[in-house]
Amino acid sequence: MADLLLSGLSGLTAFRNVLDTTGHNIANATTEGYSRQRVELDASNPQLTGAGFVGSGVSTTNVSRIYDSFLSTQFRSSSTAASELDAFLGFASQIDGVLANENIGLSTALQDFFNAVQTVADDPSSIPARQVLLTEGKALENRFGTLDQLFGDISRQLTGSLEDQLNDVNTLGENIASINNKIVVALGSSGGRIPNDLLDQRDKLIDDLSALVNVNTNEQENGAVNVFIGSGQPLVLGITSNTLSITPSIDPDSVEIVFNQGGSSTIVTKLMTGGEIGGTLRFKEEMLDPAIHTLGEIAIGLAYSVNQQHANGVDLDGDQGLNFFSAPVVTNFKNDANLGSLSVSVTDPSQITSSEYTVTTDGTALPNTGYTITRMSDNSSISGVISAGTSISYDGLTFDLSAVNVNNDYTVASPTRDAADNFSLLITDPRDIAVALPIVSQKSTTNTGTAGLGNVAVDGLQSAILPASLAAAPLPASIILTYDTSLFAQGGYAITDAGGNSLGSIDYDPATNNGMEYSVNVTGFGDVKFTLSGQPDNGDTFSLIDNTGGTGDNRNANFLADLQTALTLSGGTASFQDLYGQVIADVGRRTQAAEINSAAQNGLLAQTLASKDSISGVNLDEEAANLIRFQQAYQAASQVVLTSRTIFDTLLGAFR
Amino acid sequence: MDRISTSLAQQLGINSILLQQAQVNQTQQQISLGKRILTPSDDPSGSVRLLDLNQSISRIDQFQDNLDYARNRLSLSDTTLNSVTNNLQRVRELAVQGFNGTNSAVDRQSIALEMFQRLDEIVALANSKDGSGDYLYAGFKAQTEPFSGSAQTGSFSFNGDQGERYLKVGENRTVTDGNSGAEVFFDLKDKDGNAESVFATLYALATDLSSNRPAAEETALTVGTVAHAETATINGINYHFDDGSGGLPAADATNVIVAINVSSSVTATNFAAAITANDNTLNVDVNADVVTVTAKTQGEGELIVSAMPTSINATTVSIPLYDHLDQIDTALNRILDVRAQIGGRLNVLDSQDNVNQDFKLSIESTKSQIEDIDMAEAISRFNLQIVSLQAAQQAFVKVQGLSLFNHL
Repeated sequence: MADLLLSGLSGLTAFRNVLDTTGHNIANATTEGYSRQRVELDASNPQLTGAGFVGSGVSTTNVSRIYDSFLSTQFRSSSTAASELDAFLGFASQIDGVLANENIGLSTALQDFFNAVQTVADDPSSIPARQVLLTEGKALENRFGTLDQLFGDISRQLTGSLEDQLNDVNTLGENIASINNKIVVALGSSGGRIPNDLLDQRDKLIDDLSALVNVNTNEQENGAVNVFIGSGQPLVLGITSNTLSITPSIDPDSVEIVFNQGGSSTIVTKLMTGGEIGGTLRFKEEMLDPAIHTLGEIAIGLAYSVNQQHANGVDLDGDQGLNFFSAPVVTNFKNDANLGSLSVSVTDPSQITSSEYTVTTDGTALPNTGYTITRMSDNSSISGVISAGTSISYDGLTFDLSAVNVNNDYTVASPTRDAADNFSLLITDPRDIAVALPIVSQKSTTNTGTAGLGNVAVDGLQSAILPASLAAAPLPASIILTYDTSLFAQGGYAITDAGGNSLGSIDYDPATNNGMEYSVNVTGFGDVKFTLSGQPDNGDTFSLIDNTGGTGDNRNANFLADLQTALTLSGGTASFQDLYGQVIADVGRRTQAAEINSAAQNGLLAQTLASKDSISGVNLDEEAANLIRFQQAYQAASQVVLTSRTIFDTLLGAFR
Repeated sequence: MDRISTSLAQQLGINSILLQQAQVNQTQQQISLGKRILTPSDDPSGSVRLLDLNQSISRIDQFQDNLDYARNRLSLSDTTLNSVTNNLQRVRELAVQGFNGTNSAVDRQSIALEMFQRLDEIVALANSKDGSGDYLYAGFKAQTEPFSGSAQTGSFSFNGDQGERYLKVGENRTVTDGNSGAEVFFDLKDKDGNAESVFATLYALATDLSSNRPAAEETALTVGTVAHAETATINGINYHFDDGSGGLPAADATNVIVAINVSSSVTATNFAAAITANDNTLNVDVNADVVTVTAKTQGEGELIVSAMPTSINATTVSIPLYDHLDQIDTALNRILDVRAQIGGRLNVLDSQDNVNQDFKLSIESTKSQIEDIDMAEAISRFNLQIVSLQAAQQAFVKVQGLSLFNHL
């Protein structure tokens, strides 16, 4: 009878616990990371009586959380992958959206610029047409500037968000360590009973961490969990946590992530994979940097080619064309305290890479000092000795080593990094646009043959005025080609200057050389190119004379306009527009891939979350059912107590 | 899955609504802009093709602008040369009229006066400018007046150069927008192969007329030792020389027998008499062994002296009028040539114009296929998306209303 009371009481206690736990579950139905709890009830040990074992009620053995550590790990890895793609996609969409805008993209500005060049070619002496060209040149500069600024903004935003993410990682690490501590204490003081809610809290923190970066955990016997991030960096070891921080990189627009552990720091940028941090870094490496560098490559190619061609022409005043756009600049930093300096310039935009370079010299005395130029992107290098030549061409750059010293160590910044930012229009006076060529051909009026000389071009113009010896000569005669049937096998042109001094001769066989291009180098002037055609008679002459007053000459403008479609970039395979198209395609493709992968990964994440939640999540209907069920059980147990009392009372009444 | 947590159920419902909202939004934007591709990621390769197509269109537009420039200049040049031709023809008429033997010296001077005026007009035409103030015939020296000289100065020079400007009117298609003045007016070859300008010709012509120079052409026939049966042909009449041994064609309108003598001068005298007797279009003069024949009618055309035997040496004394007229014809032919070139170029421009427009049209249609949205498809998709969004929302509300707690 006493057993009945005790059984009843044990039921009351047990069902109170169950109801409390159900209440706890209901209260935490929306708590993130909460695992529903269940009270484990066991029948109490029976008492041996003469009639055998008689039950003595129920006892609460444990309150456990419903939790599947396998699903939890799977959830974290899905979460890592999904957040990485989300972070990547978030940034990628920004660029994607911007490049689609015709008012920001480079394409229309390029077209407008070259159309303006053609308009000048239509009417070379028109100042308004030239002014339009300068305006379009300025627009191009602005467009490069806008894009560079945009990429710069994204770059800064990216650094900012990396900082936030690292702070989050540090805070999470600290909190996990702190909860580790509480769990260790709780486990110790409870004799091994699990502090479910603390575990949930810690799991939630680790889940949060997994959204930021790749996470691995390792549970210790004392209940603490060691947390490793990235490729195994120990963020939390027992009750201590380490931190991540940001440090400036060699590249001024970039940063490195540093792992700080017990006073020592290591750069771990490349090791931080997965999660928002991994996604952010991957976006920078795969999309932002290539876009910036390709834009820089276009800027370098455009400035270099336009300047080159412009310098072959003469302006309205007959002066040689100045730099149209600012010449590409390649900066370098000296890392040692020794004397010496280095200068680097762009000489072939089609070979330009986005890499940084180092230039080092050894200790051998000049001029037998050895040098090594290393391309940082793949560590390939060339080396030699200074005495063998100080002008070294490598990857479209020319390294001028004439002023370097022994034991020098230079870092050459990526040539393309700041090129778009540095791109600017230098010509301000419309008269300074050089659309004419310095020379014009003239057919002698006494020629009797049908020969012609055309397509005159100039390359590597050194001085817009013909050399003194030629220019001083009376016109018409500066460079004179006279056909002589006695030259070569089938005749040819003798080339002389006005003074009759020979500049060489050209083999011209009318039968086979008709329409061929020839080039004559005039010392102090440059290469003069022309095509010869037709059948000359003996003594027929052509002259190439100074194009003084040639304000209606549009030949150089035509050459400039040809640059629009010339394959000047990427090893001679791409025009400016092509390369810009590659940026668009690359950004578009990567964004599209990120969208698709992100959708897939988020689907997987939702699936994993659903699996995890189906085990651990609270279902209110279920809890309501439990509430009804255990309320009834509780009522029943109280009836047992009541019955026990009634029996006792009956017994007492029997003796009254 | 037998069991689903309440918060997950709610989250799934919301997720499905959010996803559908995003789709509705995308479709709405596509419809309102009429574009299928909103950002490069919507169709990366399509976006790049659009860039290329836009560049092509932009280039074609520019080619059309260039083409208009070239067309304007060429038309202007054609009109100018037409005026020059009219003037030259008038001068030619004046010359023929002026050298007519019936004119007095004073008549000729007044005709020469008009010629000088015509000359100045042609110089002015040759110095024409285009719409933007560039000289048409100065070559590259567009701001330099190409021709200096006038009827007053009488000496003419070309200050331009031989530069010819090319304009791009299509991919790989260029057209010259003018001819150098050197070619059109200046470097005209005379009968000796020397360059002479049309201005110099006109000036000389007018000066000759004004100074009343005669314009007849005379041919001096120096008679040597003529052999029997040799034949000289003048104006289509064959003069057969005969030492009396006979065997020659019978004498008629085109065959004349001329007796020869051992003395050249006697033969010459006989020859002169034969010509005088048989050809009334010629004035004949004889001096020792030289017979001089001159066309009676002054004006155009050369005396047809042909098939002289080796023993008779014929020298045509050049009278400037005919050379001048020839030279004017050369100039007229040159201008005709140049106008033919211009006409050819204008034809090229017209056909290139069509090519450009067709090309642009085809690019525009390709572009539209890539870029533009199929409105019917988009709108039906939009409606479907809206319906399913509404369904998701209603389902969400219904499911959320289901709770056992409602029944406690």
